[in-house]
Amino acid sequence: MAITTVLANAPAFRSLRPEERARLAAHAREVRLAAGEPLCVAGEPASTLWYILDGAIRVSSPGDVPSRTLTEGIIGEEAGLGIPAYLSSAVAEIPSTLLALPGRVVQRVLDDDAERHGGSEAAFVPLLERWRTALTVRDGGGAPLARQPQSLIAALGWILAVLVPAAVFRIASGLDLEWGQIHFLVALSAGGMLWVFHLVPPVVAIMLPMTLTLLLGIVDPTVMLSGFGSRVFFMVLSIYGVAIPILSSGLVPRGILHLLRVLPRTPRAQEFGVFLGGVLLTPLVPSPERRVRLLAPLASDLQGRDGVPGSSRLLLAAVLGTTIFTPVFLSSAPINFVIYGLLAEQVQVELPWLRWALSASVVGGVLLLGYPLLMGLLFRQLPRPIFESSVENQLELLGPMKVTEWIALLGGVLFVIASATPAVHQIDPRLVALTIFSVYVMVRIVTHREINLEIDWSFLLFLGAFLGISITASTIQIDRLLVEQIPGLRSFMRNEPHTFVLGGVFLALLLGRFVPMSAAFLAFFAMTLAQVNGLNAWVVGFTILVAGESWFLRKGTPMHALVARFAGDDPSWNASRFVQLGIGLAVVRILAILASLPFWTHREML
Amino acid sequence: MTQQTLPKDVNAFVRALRSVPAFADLDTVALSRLVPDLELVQFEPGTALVTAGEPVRSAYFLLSGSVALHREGNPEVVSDILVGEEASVGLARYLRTGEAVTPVHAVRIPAFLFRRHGVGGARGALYRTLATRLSPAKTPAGAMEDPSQEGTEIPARVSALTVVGWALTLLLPAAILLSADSFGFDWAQRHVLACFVACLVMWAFDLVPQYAAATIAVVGCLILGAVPTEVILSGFGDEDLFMIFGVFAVGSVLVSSGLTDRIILQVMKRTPETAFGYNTAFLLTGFLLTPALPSANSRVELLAPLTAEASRNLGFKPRSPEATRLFLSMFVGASIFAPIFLTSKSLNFIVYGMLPDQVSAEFHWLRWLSVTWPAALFMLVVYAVVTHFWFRGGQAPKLSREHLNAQIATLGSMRTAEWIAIASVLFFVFSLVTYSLHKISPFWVSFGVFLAFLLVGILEKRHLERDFDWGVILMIGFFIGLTQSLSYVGLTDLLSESLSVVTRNLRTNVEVSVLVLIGVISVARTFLPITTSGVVLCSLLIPLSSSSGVNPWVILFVTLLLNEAWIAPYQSSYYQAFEAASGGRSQFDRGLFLKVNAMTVGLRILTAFFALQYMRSMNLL
Repeated sequence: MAITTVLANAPAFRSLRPEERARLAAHAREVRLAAGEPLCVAGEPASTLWYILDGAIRVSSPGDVPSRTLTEGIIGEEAGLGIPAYLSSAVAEIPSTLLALPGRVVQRVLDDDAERHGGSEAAFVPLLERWRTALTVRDGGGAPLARQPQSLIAALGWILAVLVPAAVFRIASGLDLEWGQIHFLVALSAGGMLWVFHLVPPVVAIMLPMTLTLLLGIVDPTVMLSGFGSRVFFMVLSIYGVAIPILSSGLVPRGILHLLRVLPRTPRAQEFGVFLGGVLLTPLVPSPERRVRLLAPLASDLQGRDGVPGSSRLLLAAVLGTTIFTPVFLSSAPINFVIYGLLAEQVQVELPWLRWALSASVVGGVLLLGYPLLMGLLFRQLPRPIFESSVENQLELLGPMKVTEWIALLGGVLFVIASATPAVHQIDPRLVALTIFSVYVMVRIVTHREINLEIDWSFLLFLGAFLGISITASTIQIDRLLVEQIPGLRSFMRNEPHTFVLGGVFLALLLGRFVPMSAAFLAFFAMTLAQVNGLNAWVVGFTILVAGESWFLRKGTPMHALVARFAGDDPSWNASRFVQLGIGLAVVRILAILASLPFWTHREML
Repeated sequence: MTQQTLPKDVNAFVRALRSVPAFADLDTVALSRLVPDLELVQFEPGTALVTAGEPVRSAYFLLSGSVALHREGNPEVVSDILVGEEASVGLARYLRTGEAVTPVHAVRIPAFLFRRHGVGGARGALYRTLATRLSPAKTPAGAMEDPSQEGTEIPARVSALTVVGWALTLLLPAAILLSADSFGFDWAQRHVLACFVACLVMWAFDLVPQYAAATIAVVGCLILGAVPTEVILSGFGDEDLFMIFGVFAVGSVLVSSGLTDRIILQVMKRTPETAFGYNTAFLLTGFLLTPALPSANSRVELLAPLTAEASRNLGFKPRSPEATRLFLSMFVGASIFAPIFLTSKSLNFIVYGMLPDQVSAEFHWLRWLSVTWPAALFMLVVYAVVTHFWFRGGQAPKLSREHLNAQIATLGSMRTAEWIAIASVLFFVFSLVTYSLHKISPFWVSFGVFLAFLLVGILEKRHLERDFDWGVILMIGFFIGLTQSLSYVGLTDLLSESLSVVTRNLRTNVEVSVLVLIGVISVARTFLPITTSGVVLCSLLIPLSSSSGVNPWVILFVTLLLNEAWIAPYQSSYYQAFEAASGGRSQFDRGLFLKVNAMTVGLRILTAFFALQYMRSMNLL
């Protein structure tokens, strides 16, 4: 019987998605036992789970549990449940054939499955205790919205969150400012402190000045809330909507597997295939973390045996492929839309998706060159070949393309073409994306639950509030006030644009190491200054974005946890690798910005 | 087996409940909600608690006595454990027979409680096979089947109504596009109207989810270019939408803190033990929650599971007239009084904002209530009397005081989260009541509460994902944009003119005006949900009332009162929410429920006439 049929029919794996069963299939191998040959011994480390294909297995457990002969079903559930040792011994009674699945892979697949089904394992705890075993501590699930700040820094932050607004109030009261301007600055400084010291998540920090401004009636609510009705807000909402079936239909694993099948069978080509898959996914899924979550398990599973130094090489190809071009494509990350939203409305219209990518092309080129450098820095040895059979097995298990996959593919292609060619068809890409989304909800490919879970609503709240703050600052002319209060800034920016840009890059690099979404924080001020002084705000914002997001793998981020989870089996992968990778990424990004300066000057953008 | 009441020493019972491993992860509120489903049972020596091979229905927690667990060979005598733990790990059949050796007192825990909280999916399946393998008993056939997978899925069939709905979705807009110019509609008006009508038909026939219908209509308007993008997408920047955040936040905190559970339990404890007493208590609980939680959906969702528990506590059989009456009392209390308080619904705030400044300044929270309280009293009394006679002679309630005390004991003393919930509700209500003093918009008070919860960490990302209904927010955002578009292209003005008959006659002939208004609202409510219909009608009638010399607030109140009436379930989103939250048809007699609800439509009409007479006496008319 084909692996496909076996896994699809196994009651234990019935709740899994086809692509999850495909992940299991990639690691499945047939084991033949002669009569009397042992399969596992109670007390030995549990590393493999078996599914009986043919024959009979005698299972005996310690104590007064009677022996049983099994002709179907699973043996070695312990390995899939994270129980360290086998609780029973198993011996083939007659010549038997079994399907072996690595426990580590089963555990990862079950973790993903558990996210959908939930429920408590508490009922099994006394049983496990009775079996004299210990449960391995499982990952607690999704990362909390806020990191627990270190107490000393947090205390300092809270003190400053009170003192700084008070100081701002005192200083601003001495200047020739209006009541609304003073109070807006006070509210802004309070939110800024909460953000910088990571006392609350950025979305909460930004909503504080927004709410205070509304409560105090500093501007008309329509001004402050205009961020929620802005073109950028709808662009992000629509793109999230377009991405939902791409994420959930199983299209991505299928696409990557097909890509690997058509590429040459050399290890380097296969590694490039995974990298390329990540790059192709970049403009379609507006979250680097989601892309990594999608591709990392596949790459990790394809790599096959673990515990070998360098076994995470394919995983890193997937991580870099999905993240390295994030600044190059507008639709590849939420933070890009923050920068885009800070541009003047007219500039937004003139800078569609393709022009953004073209303007960022030199940065993209250098980042592409940086990929082999980074891989060389991290791995001395060549990648190991992917087993052709695992690709074929996975594709077989996925079966023919489902209707939802066709629709997701069609929607994705339509979106990319429409976004790249607005000059040809003159249709607003937002409208195309919103239309695709409306079709998805009409035919119920996108469900109510997915709308709640797959659209990052906390980011949309952040975006709307952030843009509202920016528009309010402009409306009450805080931006001009900033420029006037810094003598010589205007002439400096006009005479030394490169220095100003590089200064922003340096600051972004520094802040990015410690402050979440620091690029947005810094870009708010830098782009405001640029716009008032006639400097190209996109260049200023884009360079801050490239530099500020260099540390996306820093400790404490969800991305760090994700990569650590999948790379954990590689003995050569440790904390210093993260540091090396972070520094490598920062250097490559700085080089990319430096290489782009002449290009932007040539295009009269600087 | 004989059934008994729960032990007098409820603390011992609570300790026993907490020691069941399957419930170890549950918080106090969830634990207390298990209590009404538990029973104390007694077994004589020699009686089987569970029998190997029989379908798993319950587990028994032994409070006293010993049980022999039989397998092949010698029986194992146990006490102070969970007998029938097959239920707790999700097996379909018992693996061992458990027989009472001495007189046994035990708590019976139904298997569905374990299923509700146990691990599911592939991990659950692996645990089940492992548990069976390591059991010292024979495995009966079918023991490892997942009981939750029982039953075959009925394939979805396309009903004739759906076909008619889709046909109308296509034909009605087409007809509008082709023929509306002969009625004087310009190009933009025709196209916006066509999209709007398509949206309403999809809603009315439940062809797609509400947010999907609104999204499709918005996309239609955008593709046709009938209104500027800024107008149709303006809903997400509208104040109304931000009020919802506060409502969801308060609802989330009230539920998760367990405060509502505690209030309901205390109300039941102190209520006279008669059907009239309990029903009045639930009616009043809903009534009192009305001004504090400005969303009928949230109120009924909050109270429905608690009513289901109370119904079981009172010994009412599911779907019995008595259980149905209790659900009705809660539902009516939480919904029918919405027009009585300014702060009971977001719709009230929206239409309140439509009043001329002078009128809205006059009708602040207290003034509003000072005019509406006779109507509230009238509805309360008439409803209580009518239902008393309607449900006369039913089964008397048998409150299990032991269950109630056990639930209260499980909740323990007031926790910080509950104090915060009380403080936030008080702050919210106080801010709304004193609006005329501080003039801070209720929208921002509500949003401020939401922000405060986020700041102090009561609300987290998981709450935003789980407790906030973003589909509803999406729908409201798009729908506000659609109504703005109607106004932008001048359709609102056209409709206003056609409704002037209502306001023209209100001063001279109240009966005619109200009857005409009933007709208009009936038509509107056939197609429109409550909020939309209320917004559209008030936006049309309030300007007309001003020009006709009628107090616009009077028109607003009567419109709100009648607009809330509904007969078919699709017309009321809060009924749908209530049905889902209460367990629906398995809990109450839907036919009887809808009949009594139809009676409340008549009650609303009577109240409208009564209120108008009262307002006339107050020189408001």
